[in-house]
Amino acid sequence: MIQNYMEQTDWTQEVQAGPRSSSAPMQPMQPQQEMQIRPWFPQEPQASQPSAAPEPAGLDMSCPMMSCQHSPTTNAEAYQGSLKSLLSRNVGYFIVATFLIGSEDTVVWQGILHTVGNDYLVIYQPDYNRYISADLYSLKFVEFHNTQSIPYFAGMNQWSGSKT
Amino acid sequence: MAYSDRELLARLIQCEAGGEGETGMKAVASVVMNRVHAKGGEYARVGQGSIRNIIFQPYQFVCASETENGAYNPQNIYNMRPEAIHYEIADWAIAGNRLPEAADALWFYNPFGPNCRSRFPSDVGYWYIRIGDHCFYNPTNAYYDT
Repeated sequence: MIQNYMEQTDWTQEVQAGPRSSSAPMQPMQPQQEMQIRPWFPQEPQASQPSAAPEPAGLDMSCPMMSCQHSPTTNAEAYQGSLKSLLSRNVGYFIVATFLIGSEDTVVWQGILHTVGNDYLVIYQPDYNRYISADLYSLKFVEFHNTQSIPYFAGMNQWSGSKT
Repeated sequence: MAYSDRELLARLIQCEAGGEGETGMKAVASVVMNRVHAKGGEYARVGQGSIRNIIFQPYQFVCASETENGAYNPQNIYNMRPEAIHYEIADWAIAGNRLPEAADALWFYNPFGPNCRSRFPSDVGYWYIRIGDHCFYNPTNAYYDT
């Protein structure tokens, strides 16, 4: 059964709370922006300029601060910059995932991203009331369509017809 | 929440042909799936086999847009309440079934009158059959050059 999507998996929090290496290079940082999570573009000044694309109100496609701007120095940083981490941050959203089968063929599975494991992910399909597990390392493309709405909650029997 | 392909197709069927009966709805579903599996031409290029791409291709299905000619279009897929029959027809079409009369059709429209145009939307489609209020058009050779 679907668990509460708002809960982080335990091992993710473990990674985030891990100690940072003392040799991590210091980044110039403006204190008032410390908690802001925005894509960092080298050409733009760090002041609060609106980014080119509007930040989606739900999906988290950006990188956690200080984790994707340079070569990672800790396992935690390396994880934050990975596809696995990106998917984990966006559990609960409807996705269309394309997998590579063999060397040329692709297969597409769509549904709600339910779980991201070490080498697998699980998609839930409300239309067919089934779970599908898939190989994470064959995953090539993921489409996220509901860029402005909330994730799917276990309490909903059917979504209410919102636009996206 | 984004709609799945099945949900999109069921809502489009209800929106475009809800009043046409089961045959009319199956014909519309056949047109959509014919575009999805088109062997060439514009729909093969733009859709790339995706039901979502076909339904949301701009200026194709009025029901997939909330605006029409600048004004709000209340008859759109987001305002639909699909029922079992619409999902059944969507599943039927996705599984590969087609209405024989619309087996090759790529376009349809409602003429709001007794006569169907011989060509729709242009030289790329010739009139084949009328089902209820909708006229259906098969592709000409010119379509495969689009």
